[in-house]
Amino acid sequence: MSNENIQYQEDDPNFQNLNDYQEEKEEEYVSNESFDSSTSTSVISWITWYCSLPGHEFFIEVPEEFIEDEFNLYGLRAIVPMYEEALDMILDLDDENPPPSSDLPKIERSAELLYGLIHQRFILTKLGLSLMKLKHKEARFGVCPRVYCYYSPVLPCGMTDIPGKVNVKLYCPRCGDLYTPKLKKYKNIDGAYFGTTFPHLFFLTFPELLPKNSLANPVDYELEEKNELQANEENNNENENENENENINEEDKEKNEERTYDIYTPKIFGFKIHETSQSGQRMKWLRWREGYKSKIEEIKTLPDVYTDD
Amino acid sequence: MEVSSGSDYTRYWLEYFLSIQGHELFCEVEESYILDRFNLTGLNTEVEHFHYALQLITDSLEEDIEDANLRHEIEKSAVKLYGLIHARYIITNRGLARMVEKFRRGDFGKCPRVLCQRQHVLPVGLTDVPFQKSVRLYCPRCEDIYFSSNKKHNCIDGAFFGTTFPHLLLQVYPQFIPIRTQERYVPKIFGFKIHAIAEQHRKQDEVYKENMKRIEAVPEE
Repeated sequence: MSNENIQYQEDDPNFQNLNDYQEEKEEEYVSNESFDSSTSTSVISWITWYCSLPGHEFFIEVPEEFIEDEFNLYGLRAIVPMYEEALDMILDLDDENPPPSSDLPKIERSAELLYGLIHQRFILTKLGLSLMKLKHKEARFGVCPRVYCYYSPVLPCGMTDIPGKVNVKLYCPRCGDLYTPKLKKYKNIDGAYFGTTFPHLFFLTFPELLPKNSLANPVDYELEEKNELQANEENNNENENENENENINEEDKEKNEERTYDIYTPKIFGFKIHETSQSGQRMKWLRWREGYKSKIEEIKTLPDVYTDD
Repeated sequence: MEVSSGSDYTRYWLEYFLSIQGHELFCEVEESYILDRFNLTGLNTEVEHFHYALQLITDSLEEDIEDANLRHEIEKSAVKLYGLIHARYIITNRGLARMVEKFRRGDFGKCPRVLCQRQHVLPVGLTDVPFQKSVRLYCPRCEDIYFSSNKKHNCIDGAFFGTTFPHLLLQVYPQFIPIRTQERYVPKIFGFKIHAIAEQHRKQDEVYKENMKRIEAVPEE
């Protein structure tokens, strides 16, 4: 439940109005800059402003040192139009010959593209990964919409590294699948600004952050059961106090309740549909992993009545 | 809350109920179905203030109920009663026909999984006991269940749709079963597959092959 609540805090019921809000905010910013450029509003850097826009919650602030290093920008000059002006805008550098105001919208678009591509490179560095780790820990990217992933936190992921093709998707490490973000404001964010590599490199760098029973590291239920049985036997031999035994039973119950992964089984009036039926289950393989055993089915397995007779 | 004094032709309560945000998942249950006592067997023990609630649903509540608490309770019971009737109605022939129309229009939403390519989904409950779990969405292409992206749907009881409904619908209308492919998302780092995940994918392929073998071994009718 707590995870569910975290997720809802992100949900703004008025998210449809956010686009208007964004435009308003942009206008506000532009007017502030043109009228009183010396006051405190101009202290906010372009990068901070850009990352605080609604819908841009997935971005992290790339440090200026990273952008100032020409090596990190290698090859971007060919992709981004009006490269110099865009770079000046991102770094808030005042040009001696300011570009004509008619070019401003163009430069803004270029700056967005350039920042996105730098962001794609930056989040693969050591510092970038650890900054994203902080966001991931708070589940700021949301949780998996799949019911039997039990609110596993997700990471943003692109489907291609070429900008302007596909919007950002969410990768769930538990089921290893891609999902569309549920809020409309994320539908205009380019997936290339995060890249295809990021979530996978993230979990290779921080394997301890992989959720329990993820696709890359599945739990072998049979092996676990054996271990549990052994541990219980040892415990039973050691402790003969009834009180302590009760404690163990409670712990066992908690373990059983702590489900981390399951596969959905379609049922009609409680009966499974036969797999040879036209509407039978054909996609079980997609969610299957090594050592999988359904905890739901296990509970409902009845003893065979006929063998006793 | 509008309570009419016994006009049978406009259904004020139902109209109001279906117009609530998030209630677009429900379909309109025919009045004749509600009025047939056989269809309500067993519900009078499950729903409090059954008779008042039934009268409220059918807009035939004649007494004025002055007690605000009681009125509130009756309103709550009416929602529960309508939901439970709805769960029974949508697995009848006529109910399925109405729901399939909504499914075709995409009233229930779309699958969040990228590779399902906006496949229309169906509402499903995780249990048939009311007030346990909210409604979930079943995608017939990946055969999995998801949370709804609409926050309003989290307040709708899953038992008002039941565990059976989507699967029965696809049995009755097999033409709506989408083509299921062996497509899957392959995570890659700089274009290279990840060993641990590729290993699991190979094992999934084995499960798929075994499954297909079993299915193909059965002679077609």
